[in-house]
Amino acid sequence: MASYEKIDYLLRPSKQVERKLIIEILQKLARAKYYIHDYTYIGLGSIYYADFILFHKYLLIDDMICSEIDKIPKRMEFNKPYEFIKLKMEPVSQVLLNIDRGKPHLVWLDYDSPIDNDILSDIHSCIHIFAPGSIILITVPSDLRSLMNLLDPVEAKGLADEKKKERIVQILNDLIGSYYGQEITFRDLGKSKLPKVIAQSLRNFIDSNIIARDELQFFQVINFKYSDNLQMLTIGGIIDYCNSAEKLKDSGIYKIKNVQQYEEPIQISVPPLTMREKMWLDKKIVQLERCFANDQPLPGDMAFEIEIEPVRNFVKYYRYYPSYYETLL
Amino acid sequence: MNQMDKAESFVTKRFLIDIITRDIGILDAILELVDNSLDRAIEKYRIDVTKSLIEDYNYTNDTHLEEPLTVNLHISEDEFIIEDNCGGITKEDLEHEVFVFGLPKEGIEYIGLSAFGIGMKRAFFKLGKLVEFRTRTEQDDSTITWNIDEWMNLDDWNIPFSKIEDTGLHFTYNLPGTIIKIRNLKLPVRTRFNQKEFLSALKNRLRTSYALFLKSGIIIKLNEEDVTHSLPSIFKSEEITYTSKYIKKGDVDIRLIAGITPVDDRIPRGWYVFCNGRMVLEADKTQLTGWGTSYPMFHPKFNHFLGYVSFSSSDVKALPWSSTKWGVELDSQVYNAALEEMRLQAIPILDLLDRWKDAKEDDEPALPALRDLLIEGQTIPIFASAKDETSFTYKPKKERPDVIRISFVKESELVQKVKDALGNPKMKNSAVGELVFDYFVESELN
Repeated sequence: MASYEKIDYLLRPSKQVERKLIIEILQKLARAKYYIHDYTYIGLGSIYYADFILFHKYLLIDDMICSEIDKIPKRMEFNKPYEFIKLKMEPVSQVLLNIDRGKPHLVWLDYDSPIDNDILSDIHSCIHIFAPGSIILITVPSDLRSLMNLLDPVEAKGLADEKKKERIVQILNDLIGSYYGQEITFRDLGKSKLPKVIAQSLRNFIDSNIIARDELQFFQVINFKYSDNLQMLTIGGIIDYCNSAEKLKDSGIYKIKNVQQYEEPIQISVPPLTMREKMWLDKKIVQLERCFANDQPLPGDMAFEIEIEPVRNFVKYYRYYPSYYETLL
Repeated sequence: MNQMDKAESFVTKRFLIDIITRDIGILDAILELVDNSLDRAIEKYRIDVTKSLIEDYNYTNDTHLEEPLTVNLHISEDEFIIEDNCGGITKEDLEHEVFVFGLPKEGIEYIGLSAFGIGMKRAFFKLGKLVEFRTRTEQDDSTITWNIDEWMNLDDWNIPFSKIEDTGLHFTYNLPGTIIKIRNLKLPVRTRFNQKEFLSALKNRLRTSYALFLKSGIIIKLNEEDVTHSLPSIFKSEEITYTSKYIKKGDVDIRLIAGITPVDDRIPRGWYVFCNGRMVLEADKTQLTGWGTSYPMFHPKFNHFLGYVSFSSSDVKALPWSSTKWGVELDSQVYNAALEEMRLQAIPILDLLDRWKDAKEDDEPALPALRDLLIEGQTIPIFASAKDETSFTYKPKKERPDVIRISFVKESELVQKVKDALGNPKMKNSAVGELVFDYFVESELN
């Protein structure tokens, strides 16, 4: 079952927060003279077109390509929110062959299947083909449950859990071990460790392939992990000339909140709240921020029972908290 | 203090000969001489055989000569003769360049096939001990007789010209050119020249290495027989197209053509790589062209994959060929840039062939069998229309039933129990599978 069948993309709160965070970061890249509204966006298909709608509205991109491989051409065409989206019923690897290599692109390789050779191959192709200044975002599941899909189901059927894990470790080592830089072990499969392992491997995979382009380099700015249901990892950055390093540093990009140039992903976590609860917390936001800044307990007049951690997370991301009554049309 | 205030350092002739002939085979040595002949043609008549990759090119369309440009090889137990009418060498070049080891002029670009300024000399050393050499241009007619054994014992490195009448070399062609006769062949060379297999191996190499030259109309003869080329064709139909892509890396133009071979082409293909028109890899299926490193390893399911990569440059040193000109330089940045593009263009083609493989194994394929698809189309005459950039696509023109065959193996005793349970102990095995599948669909999906 494709993931769009399971849940409305818009209704995944952390995912939605991530989208908004990414938009904010990409907008701020203008400081370093990356003007995203001139870019061509390439996204993977989903009947909700959530990323397309948001990127058009808030990044002002109107040159967009959607790559979809499921055999639902009519449904994809029917749900297309804007005429200008070019729908391609073919894999990304095919779409890339026909792009304008002189123009910067923004691509979001947003996979719901775990990392494999096809995914690495798509990333490799983007790195090879994109014009300097292009931005690449990659999202992959990053928990053990998703990785189980890497096992051959027939082979896995009789295996005990420990054996399955062993097999996964082996598959990961074959796939990304050489990029991770050290042997991947059992311990790396833990929920808190795995995103970092994958992030670091992807990052090194990009670095080692971009070498073929002489003067280009990958500048990572995004590294998030979050879980709505499955834990996901998103890593992203800019492909540009090596001498852009100065420009990026001077622009202050790396000092912006939520920009991450290192391998440890920033955790996005938003508590599930009712609309009333959210509005109440919104009203108290200044007071709450002050509490956390001064390491104080929650105020005594909390209107409902809630732990301190979820409130802390809410305060961190309240500006991006999804408001579902606002429908994106 | 010692009278000598320096340590002597120099190169001996014997060492030089030993070192430069070590890594080259007899076959490659002969090809070096053919390269030299063709270089003259490239330079004098501005022939660009790489054009024949993308259009129906024949050099005679641009150059109207009284006779076809020819390289004629004659090989026997006693002597090796190569004659061409490709332009010849001026006296000045002969005096200052041709017999120098290495490229004497710094900072200038050498076009054509002579990359290292060593090929002809090492071919001589490899083959024999007495070289007779005559070359003429419109202005000059010069002769050299080089007795290598005698020369070895002299301190002088220079090789004196000889009188034309002292050699028995006579030109067969009207157009200016060069004739080289090598005698006192080395023992291993005589042995090889006597073997039929050697001659057919040489013919094959001439056929492949110079395929684009032959295709462009240049004639190469071996012992009076014309060498013919056989380059595979690419298939094209309403449903399947091919890739033609041009990129530039530094001073090197890279042209890439890739697609699928026609149904009657039963030869496993792979990549064909050219440098300035000379083939340096033939039907390669190894890591040299990315198989098993940046995309899947070669497998018979990819037999119909065909790719051409052509590097050309006015600076031969910028080309990614190995020093024997048979193979590629993997460390070259130009080659790596090309490899990336080869990977990119190959993936959709390999994907499709991979899907076809599944279809072929089945009796009722989801995809039309590769065979059927290929029969419906046409084979385009080699590269006739690859001038414009295109990319490989597969667009089925008619809807085909989207079905998949499933097969699996189960213990027969268990299968018999299922048959019994289904109420027909004699039903076909395939029916058991279908009924069990239907059962799952009904109870779990509907």
